[in-house]
Amino acid sequence: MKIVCISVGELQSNSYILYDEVYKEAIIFDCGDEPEKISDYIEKHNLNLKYIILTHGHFDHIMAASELKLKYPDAKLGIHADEEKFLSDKTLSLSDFVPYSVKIPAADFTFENNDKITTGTNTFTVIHTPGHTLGSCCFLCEDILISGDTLFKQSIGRCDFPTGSMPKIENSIVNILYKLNDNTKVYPGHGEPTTIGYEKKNNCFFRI
Amino acid sequence: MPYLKLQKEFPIIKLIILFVLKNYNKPITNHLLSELTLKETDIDYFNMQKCLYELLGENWVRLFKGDPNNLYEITDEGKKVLEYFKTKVPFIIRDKLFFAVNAQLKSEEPQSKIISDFDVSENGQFNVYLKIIEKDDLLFELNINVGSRELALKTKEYFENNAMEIYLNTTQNVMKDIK
Ligand SMILES: [Zn+2]
Ligand SMILES: [Zn+2]
Repeated sequence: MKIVCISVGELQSNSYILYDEVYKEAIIFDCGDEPEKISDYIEKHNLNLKYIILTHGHFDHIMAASELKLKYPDAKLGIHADEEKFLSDKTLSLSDFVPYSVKIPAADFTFENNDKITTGTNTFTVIHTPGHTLGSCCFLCEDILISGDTLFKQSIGRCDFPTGSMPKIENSIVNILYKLNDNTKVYPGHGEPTTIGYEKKNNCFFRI
Repeated sequence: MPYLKLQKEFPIIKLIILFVLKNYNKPITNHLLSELTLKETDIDYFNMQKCLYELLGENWVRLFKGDPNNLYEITDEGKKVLEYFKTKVPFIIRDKLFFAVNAQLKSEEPQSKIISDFDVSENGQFNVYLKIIEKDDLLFELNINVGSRELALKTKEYFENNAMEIYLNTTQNVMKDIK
């Protein structure tokens, strides 16, 4: 499986395009801004975009969704059931903080913990990791974890926005993510990739 | 790349100042710039002022006379430098500054906002609208269909210049028979 990271927008949010090189079926995790950067890659590599999956509903992860949906109407937009209301609530998505108007489409489907999302030969398992927001999720496929704003290299997501909770993020990271294999590669919503083993030893918030 | 040689010695404080200026997106006083920059970081005031002074010398920030205070603004060259080095500002700082600057901008917004514009409907008519928004709530909305772009422009201008009068007259007319 090929994984490509495109950093977009003022907050340099990571948008990940993952695809298998046989079927050319692609899945995108988060699309915070600059939709043309994302679609350029898809066009250039002749990919068939099946899913746009949102790790959570903050504006810096969802803002390019409406333009991508216009361009790829067959791609299905998914978000955790507890997070769906973020797409229509500017206070929850923090969109009322940004100086430009944010258009967000409705989700095509919602998922729950342990649901599977398959593209080509790859299957992603949804891991519900509340804390940064109530419906924040990570996605695991073999040794690849897309961690959204839950776990960063040596850091964690903020918990001071609506529906955020420090005890919940601690539980999500320590009791769920840190139980994964140490070699699991972590691709966060901002900043560089890391691994579960590295974070267990070096994370500034939770070390075990 | 012309900026490559600067990469090693380019202090992050300068990038932080440029980031605040870019996101504030209009001229700002030294006082407010310092407040926004220092509140969310552990940068020392004098260090910040020194960097700001150097940014002026490098023409990445410009200073002009304001009344009563002088105002700072990022230059196009400054924006290019920031774009080139943007990954150097750690996300945790960028995130805090972004919200601090936008919260400040929000607090400066007028309490009520008048929006007037028009769009073309499918039948070729021009729909001109007037909206009065108070805090984030829609207080009043009026839509009129006109037959030409010229009329639409004139109506839009009339709405803009007489918004409050239209609002007051309409509400008075509506309310006078409602007991
Ligand atoms: Zn977030
Ligand atoms: Zn984020």
